[in-house]
Amino acid sequence: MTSWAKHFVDCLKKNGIKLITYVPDKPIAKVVTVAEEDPELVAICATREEEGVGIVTGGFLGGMRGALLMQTGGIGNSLNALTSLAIPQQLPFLLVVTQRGELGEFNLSQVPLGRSLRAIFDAVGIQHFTLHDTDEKEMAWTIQGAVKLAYASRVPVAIILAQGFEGKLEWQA
Amino acid sequence: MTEVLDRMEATKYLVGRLRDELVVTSLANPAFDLFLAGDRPENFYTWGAMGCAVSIGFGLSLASPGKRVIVLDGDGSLLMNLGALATVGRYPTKNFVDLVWDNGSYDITGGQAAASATNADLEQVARACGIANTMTVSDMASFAKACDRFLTEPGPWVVVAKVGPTPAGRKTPVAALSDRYLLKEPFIKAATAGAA
Repeated sequence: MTSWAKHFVDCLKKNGIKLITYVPDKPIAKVVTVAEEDPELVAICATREEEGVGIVTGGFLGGMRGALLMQTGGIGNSLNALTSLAIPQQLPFLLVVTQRGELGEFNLSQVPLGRSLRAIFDAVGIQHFTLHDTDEKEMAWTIQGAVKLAYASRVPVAIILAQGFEGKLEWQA
Repeated sequence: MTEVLDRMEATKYLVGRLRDELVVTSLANPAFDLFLAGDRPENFYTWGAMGCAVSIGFGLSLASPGKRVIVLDGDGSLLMNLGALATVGRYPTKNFVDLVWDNGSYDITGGQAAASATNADLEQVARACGIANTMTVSDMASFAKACDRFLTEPGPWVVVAKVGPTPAGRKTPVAALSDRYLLKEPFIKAATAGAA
């Protein structure tokens, strides 16, 4: 099937991203499934998102562009590495965060960080852009722009995949 | 008392044997020692992100398969990110070495005991994560033999070097390292030299 995930991976590749590091959640798993079957990509599952920051910044030092994919909670797990490694030492990568804690959330433990996500990014100086649906043109434009911005500004730039971005279906659970 | 290595002496010995290896340090003491023992373009110093050095080195080993990557880690740092060893065991890059300076303590904050002083055997943790090439050394002769192996034989390697506390009164190169910390382009050039 030609899925949004295939298009997403194609966009990453077109922008020179080769290293896909992730801690899975449901949408991320779809991207990773495509990435893992692609011999041109290196897909690495980290045990914790902060570890992922280390892996993609190390990849950058070796000349490999990287993306780090995680759910909202992973930002909580990776803030120290973002603010004391990636940002001060200017080690860029594309951060892809699947939104939790917003429209339709069923798990209250996801809410405090989910609703703070953009404020946290603003506070530490990480620019962020949100994809609200799987529109291919918008996805291509946003990924290209975010990657360009990250490597021009030499800091990570985030794309947030909004809750429900895969389709405006009935909220689950 | 059990014999232990002098960390600075061991760092100087290692630097003397390096050729084009890429070296990534954990924050504070491993960075200070390497900077004082021998700064070189192939050194990348961290000064934060405690625990992440092992992961930076692993990411680098993926991106620069033609270069050997040596992480100068600390026991306290590695304890903060033990999951990284599970990842290295899962994706075993042959060019990766984690050299852990193990003084059993949080030396930089005054020597508070770490779990590595009492119950946590970091070499065994690495082995349990599927990393077959591991050693623990505690004197210069065995450290030199360890260097013979991890500088030439395929990894990934995790080498635990039992070291003593940082000598009192040692000056830390804060100002010079602050400048060097931001100068990563020569490192990237070295890391990507000869790559396709």
